[in-house]
Amino acid sequence: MPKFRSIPLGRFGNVYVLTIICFAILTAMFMVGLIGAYISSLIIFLMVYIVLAISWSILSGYAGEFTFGHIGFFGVGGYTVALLSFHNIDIVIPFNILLGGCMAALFALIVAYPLLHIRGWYFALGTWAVAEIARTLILGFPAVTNAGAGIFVEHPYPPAFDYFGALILGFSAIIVFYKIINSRLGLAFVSVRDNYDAARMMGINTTLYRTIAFMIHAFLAGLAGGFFAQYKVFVDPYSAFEFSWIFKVIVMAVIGGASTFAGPIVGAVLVLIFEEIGKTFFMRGSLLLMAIMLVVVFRFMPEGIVGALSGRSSAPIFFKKIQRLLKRESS
Amino acid sequence: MIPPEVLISGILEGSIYSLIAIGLSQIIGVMRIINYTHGDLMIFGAMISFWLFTLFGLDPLLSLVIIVPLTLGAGMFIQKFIVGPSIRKVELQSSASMVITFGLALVIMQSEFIVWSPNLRSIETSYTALNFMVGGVLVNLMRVLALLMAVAVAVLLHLTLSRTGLGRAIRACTQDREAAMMLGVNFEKTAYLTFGLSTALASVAGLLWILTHVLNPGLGIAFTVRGFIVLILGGMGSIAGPFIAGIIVGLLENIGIYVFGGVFRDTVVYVILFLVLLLRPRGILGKVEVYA
Repeated sequence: MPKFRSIPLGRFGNVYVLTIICFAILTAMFMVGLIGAYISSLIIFLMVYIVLAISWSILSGYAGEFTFGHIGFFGVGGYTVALLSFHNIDIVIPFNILLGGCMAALFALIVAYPLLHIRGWYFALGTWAVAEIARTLILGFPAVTNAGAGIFVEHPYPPAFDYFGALILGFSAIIVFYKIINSRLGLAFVSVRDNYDAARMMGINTTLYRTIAFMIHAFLAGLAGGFFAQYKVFVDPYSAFEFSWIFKVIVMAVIGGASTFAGPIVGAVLVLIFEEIGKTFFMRGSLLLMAIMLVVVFRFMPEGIVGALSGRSSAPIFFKKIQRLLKRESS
Repeated sequence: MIPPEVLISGILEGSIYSLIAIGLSQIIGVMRIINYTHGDLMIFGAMISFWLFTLFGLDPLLSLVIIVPLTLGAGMFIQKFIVGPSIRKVELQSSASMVITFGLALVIMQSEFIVWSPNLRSIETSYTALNFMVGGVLVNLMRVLALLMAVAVAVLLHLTLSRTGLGRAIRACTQDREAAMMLGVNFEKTAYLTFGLSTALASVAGLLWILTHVLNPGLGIAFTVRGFIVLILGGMGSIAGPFIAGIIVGLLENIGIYVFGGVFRDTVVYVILFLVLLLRPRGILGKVEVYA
C-alpha cells in the first residue's frame, strides 16, 4: 500500500462513521443547550480554520506547490458575498457562499495561466502577488467596493444558522478531502509533487492536475471566505486579506502535517487553542507563540505531528516510541 | 512629464532594493534556500544602529562597524543551528526552506515589535537633511551618499566573490554542489558563511534605508518580497543583473506612484513581477536556468 494512504485515524474506525458521530454529537450538544455563545463561536472559527488548512494542504501538501496566495482566494470569496449584499442582489444563504467559492475558483482559473508554467518559489511568490493585487484593486476602486471603509453584509438569520452552517461546511470539507486524497486524483497530485518529470513521462498531464489542485484549493478557500464574511457581517480589505491569516493557515497545515489526512485538522485545533491562550495571557503575543511553535515543530519534525506519529521519516526518538506502542496495540 | 525628483528617488530606492536582492541571490545560489527572514534581519540591523544613535549618540555610518559583525553572526547562527539542520533531511528543500524561514521571519518580526514597537523610526543626524541644487533639481546629500555606498558594497561583494577563497567556494557551490564537495569545499561552512554575508549586506541596506526613509518592524516582509521581485527580474548568477533590475523596479515603482497614486504602489510592483514571470522567468540578465 502506498505510504500516503496510511491514515492514523483509520485504526479508530471508519472516517465517515467518525465524521457523522462528531457531527451528531456537536448537533445534539447545541440542541440541548450545552454550547453557549463563546463555545459556539470557537467551533465556528475551528470549522473555518479546518477548511482553510485543508485547502492549503491539497495544494501545498499533496500537489506540492507551496502557496502564499491562499488568502487572496479567501478574500475573493468574502468579497463576493459582501458585494452581493452591497449592491442589493438577493441570493439566499447557501447559494451566495457557494457563489463565493465559485468566483474564487474562477479567479484561480484566470490566474492559473501565468502561474502554472512556473514552479517552486517562483510560484509561491506569484501567488503572493495575486493576493496583493486583489487587495489593492479592491482598495483602488471605491465606487464598486467601498474601498477601505469596508462593507456590511446583511445577515437576517438566527445564530443557530451560523453554527450549523459552519458544521456542514467543515465536515463536508473533511469528507471531500478524504475522498480526494484516496482517489486517482490524489494519487496524481502526489506523483506531481514527488517527481514532476517522472509523472510527465508516465503520461500524467501535470499542468491539468496542477490546475485542478489550484482550483479546488481556491474553491474551498472561497467557501471559507464567503462563510466568514457572512458570519462576521463585515469585510474590509485589511481584515479579509490580512497577513496573519496566511501565516495561521501555514502554521496549521505544517504543524499538523500538510501531507497527511488528519494533519490539517489536528493543526487547526492546536492553532485555535494556542490563539485562545495567547489572547488570554499574552495580549498581542499569540502570533509570536505560533511562530515559535512552527519553527520548533518544523526543526524537529518536518512531516508535522501527525506525519511523525504515523511513521513517516525523521521523527525524533520520543515519537518513535509512541509509534511502536500504537503499532503494538493495533496488531 | 515626470519630475526629475521622482526619477532620482526611484534610482536611490532601487539601489537599496538591489543590495537586498544581491544578498538573497547568494543564498539561493549556494543553498537553494528561499530566505524570508532577509527583510526582518535588515530591519534588525537598521534598528540596532537606531539604538546606537539615539542611546549612545554613535554616528550611524560609524555604527556599521558594530552592526555588520553582529548581523553576520546572527545570519551564521540562523543557518548553522536552525535552517540548515531542519532542511537537511527533507526532500523538497526549497519548499521546506520557505516554511522554516517564513516561521523564523515571523518570530523575528514579532520580537522586533516587542522590542522596538510598531512606531516608524528614522535617524536624523546633522548631515541627513543637507540638500543641494543641481540644474534646478533639489538633491539630498544623504541619498546620493546612500546610492554611492550601495554601489561600493556591490563592487566589494564582486571583488570578494572573484578574488578570495570564500568567494571561489561560494561560486563553486552555486555551480555544482556535489562536485564542489568532492573537490574538498566544506559545504556546511560555505553555507553559513554565505548566509552571514548576505545578512550583513541586508543590514547595510537597512541602515541606508533608515537614513533616507522611515522604518518599522512590520515592513520586513515587504522588503523581502521586493528583493525577490528584483532578483527574478534581474536573473540569478550575476551581480550586475539584480543591480540593474533593482534600479528598474525602483524607477517603475516611483513613476507608478506618481502616475496612479500611492494606493497602487504595490500593484505596480506585483504587475511587474507578473509580467516577468509570464514573459521571461529567467530574468533580463539571467545566466542560470530557473531554480525550482
